[in-house]
Amino acid sequence: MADWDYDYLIKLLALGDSGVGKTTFLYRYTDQKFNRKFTTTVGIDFREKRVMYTGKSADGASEKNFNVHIQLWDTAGQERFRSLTTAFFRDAMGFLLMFDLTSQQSFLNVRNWMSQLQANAYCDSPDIVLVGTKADLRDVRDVHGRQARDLANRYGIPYFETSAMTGDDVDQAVTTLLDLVMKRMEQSIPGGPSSEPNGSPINSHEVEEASVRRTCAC
Amino acid sequence: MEQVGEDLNLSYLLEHERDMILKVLQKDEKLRKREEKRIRKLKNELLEIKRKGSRRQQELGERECARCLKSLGLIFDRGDLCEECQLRVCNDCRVSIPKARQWRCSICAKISELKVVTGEWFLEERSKRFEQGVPSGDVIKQTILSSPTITDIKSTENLSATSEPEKSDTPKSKRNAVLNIVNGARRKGRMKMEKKANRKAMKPENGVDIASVNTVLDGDAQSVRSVCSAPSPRSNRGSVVALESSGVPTIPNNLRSHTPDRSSTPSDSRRVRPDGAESVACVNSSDSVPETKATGHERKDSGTPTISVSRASVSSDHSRSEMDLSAAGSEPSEDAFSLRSRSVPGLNESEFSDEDAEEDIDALMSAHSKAPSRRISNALSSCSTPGSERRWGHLNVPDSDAETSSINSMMSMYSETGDYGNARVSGEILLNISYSYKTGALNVLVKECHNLATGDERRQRTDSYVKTYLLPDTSRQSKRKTSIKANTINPVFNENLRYVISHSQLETRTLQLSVWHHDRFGHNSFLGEVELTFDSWEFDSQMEDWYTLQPKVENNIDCTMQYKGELTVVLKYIPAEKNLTLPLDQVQVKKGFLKSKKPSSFTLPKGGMVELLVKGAKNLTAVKSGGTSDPFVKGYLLPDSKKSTKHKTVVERRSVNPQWNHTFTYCGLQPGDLNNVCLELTVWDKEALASNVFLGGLRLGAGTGKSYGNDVDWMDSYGEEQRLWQRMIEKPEVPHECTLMLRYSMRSCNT
Repeated sequence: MADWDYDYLIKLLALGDSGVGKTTFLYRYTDQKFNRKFTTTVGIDFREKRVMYTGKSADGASEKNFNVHIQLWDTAGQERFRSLTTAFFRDAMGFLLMFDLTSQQSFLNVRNWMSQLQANAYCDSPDIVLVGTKADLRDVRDVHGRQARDLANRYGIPYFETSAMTGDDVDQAVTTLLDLVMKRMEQSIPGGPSSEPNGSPINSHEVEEASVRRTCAC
Repeated sequence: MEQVGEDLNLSYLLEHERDMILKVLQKDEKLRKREEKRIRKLKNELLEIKRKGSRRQQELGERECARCLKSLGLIFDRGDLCEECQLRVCNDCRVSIPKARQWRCSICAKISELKVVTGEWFLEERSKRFEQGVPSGDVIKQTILSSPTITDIKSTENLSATSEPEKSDTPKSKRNAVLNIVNGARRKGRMKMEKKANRKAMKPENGVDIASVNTVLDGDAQSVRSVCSAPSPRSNRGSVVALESSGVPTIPNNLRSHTPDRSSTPSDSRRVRPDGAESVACVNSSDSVPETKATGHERKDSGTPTISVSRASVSSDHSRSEMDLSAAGSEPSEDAFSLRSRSVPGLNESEFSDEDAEEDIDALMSAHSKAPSRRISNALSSCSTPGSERRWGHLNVPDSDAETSSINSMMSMYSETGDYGNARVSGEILLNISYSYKTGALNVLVKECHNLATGDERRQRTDSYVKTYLLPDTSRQSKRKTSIKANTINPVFNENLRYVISHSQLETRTLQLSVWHHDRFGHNSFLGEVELTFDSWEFDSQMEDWYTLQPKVENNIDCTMQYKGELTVVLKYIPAEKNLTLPLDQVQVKKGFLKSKKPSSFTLPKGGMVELLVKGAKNLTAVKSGGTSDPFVKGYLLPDSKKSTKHKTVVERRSVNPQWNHTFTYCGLQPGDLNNVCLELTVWDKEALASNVFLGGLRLGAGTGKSYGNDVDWMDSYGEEQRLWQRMIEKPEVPHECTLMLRYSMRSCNT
């Protein structure tokens, strides 16, 4: 492969209950296609996509476009693969936490996934985007937008309602996550390329049950 | 609670599932390899900048830019101190920080840029949480591969709380071991360079301490050599340990450790270490002793003499031939000591930095896809296959490029190095260096030298020859020599010194080329040297150039290396009979010492327990800019120097007076063990982009020089170290707090 010329390798990971449409979502994102067929992901898989990211150049003075290579890990939602998939959490820099807008149960499980993440990700408050899938299936919708938004707010994470079929907000969800990760990255070094002077702390997910957590913001 | 200790059982996977997953992982591996290549490139850029800067900090004039070596003006471009490294740099070598009216020197800027683009920021962040830097993919892969049958249960990940008897995979771990050696060697090469370069960036503000560190690490070719000369057994072990250890030492109630299914006797494992250390010791003693006598260096011990002395005398114990000399050197005032001790830190550095390769960014990002797998198999089998480790210690590694340390040749190397401080160095050497892809060989054509120093003043004679090593390999395989050109200071050699080595390997190597005066009867004297790195060299181009011969840097290291600060620990022994009611899940328990003589019992640990509370340290050497370090403590209960006894504290950021309050617990000790084991504690500075820096250490034990009847070099506790251990044995159950002076070298202190 000759295309090594990217500036950053960013590793994201999609997680959520089985059947919420993680694979389809990622497929949509990387290939702009919709795959109607349901196939269970066996354990783990990943897809890649090259995107442009506009950030500050090394001297911080000017804007610059960076080539970002995104590695999108797709995990099996099935319980039996759980130990395998959580093992991959720690290698990811950002997470797409997905649930099915037509399944209340998958939404209720977001909480569990969240605690899984807090326990197994590289730090206890990683960058996460909450993604409701299958937004096009309005008739069978089972989760209120407000409900989901509330939860996302509680965690302090962005929320998107997406549809892999129409492609609605699929890109936005990933791009938002990428932005979060890139911001965190830039702030990870003191006086780094773009340490914000107004220094808004990176989102830390204040969840009531989490009492002893350091913030990961460096 | 964090589920760090979850065990991974993938035995449920069906055949086709395994295949699918493996395929994915393979794909991932490819991506990671690509990434690693990219990162290496970036790092080379950094090295490039660094190389432009001063080679030796000490030589740096006050009025010189530390980066481009341009002399600074008195009024214009006077230079200013970089906030981060505190080196004075000129206007051109600055990079301004956006939105702040600050700037950094080009290297500091590059380093922080690299931290971002290499993903180091992420790894650093993650390492706060998970010690292991092994990509999960590799963990999983190995887990899958190592569970051949559906029923075979493996715990990987963190190996913590599986109560299953461990299964080990001996052949695999052996095979991996070999692979790992290669990896280790490669990594080392890189580490060395980084180390060299890194030190440069350190600021001298902390006066002596830093200066000395600098001297030792930065310019001092000797230490550089010793870095390279770390004998292979050690380095093997190092990488193994490193990788294994990235498990999670802090898991409460590590049941795993209670399964003493180790098949070997303690002496098996012990052999590994002494072996490694032995060659180190040899090197040292042969290094300076004879020459010192001859040249009579004037050195002063300005630090704490007691420490330095015992340390110095240490070196001798293992050397075979030169023993007598150093034996004489148990008196403090002998010059030999200080001279010898000069090389200690370097040596140690090497000894340990290998071990800590895990902390190296390269290791973290490694594309050594095999390396991580080592961890698993070895972790699984760490107790049951000491044989594999021993093998590395004793066998010459099949790969000739890995450092197969041959004691003899190392001695030869070092025997010559003693008096270069004395030698004047002048002149230059003409080299033509090329690499042939066709034959896979590096050709070093030594053409001629010009205006060499006189080798033998008395006889006004110079009989020169050129010797090369492809560092870090200092074994005989790596040594090449030209013939000797008699009686000329402008010798013409026109001799080709050839190394068969792959270019990717070569990238990590350094060609060390030294010129010597051959003295048939006395010792050869050093006439200068050149070191060339290949990491950024276009292999298809030829280098032909005159290189100025450099002296070995010998700075006044000895004046400061003695005092490394002090460590406060609380040591407690809980005998077996009191140990029964121990709330196991409340302590961080690790099977300290695995007694294979005992038939395996899969119950709770029997025997007593040694509990060590690492409270804190004072006055540690500051190695980072801003006069700080990021220290942590690592502990082993020797002779078991493998993962099973390894403990680490967290890294205390930016402190030279850290407080850890971390308890290391070693259980399963029989009463008789106490006199045969030794608790080795080392303090390290955590480095992000390089290998960790050794800050000091100590050994708590009986100090008898023997362990289970065998002579071992590490059973060398003395003074307070020894007394503390004694107190612990005499008064069990009572916590004994003690503040101990850190040794500045972990070389054996036997007398």
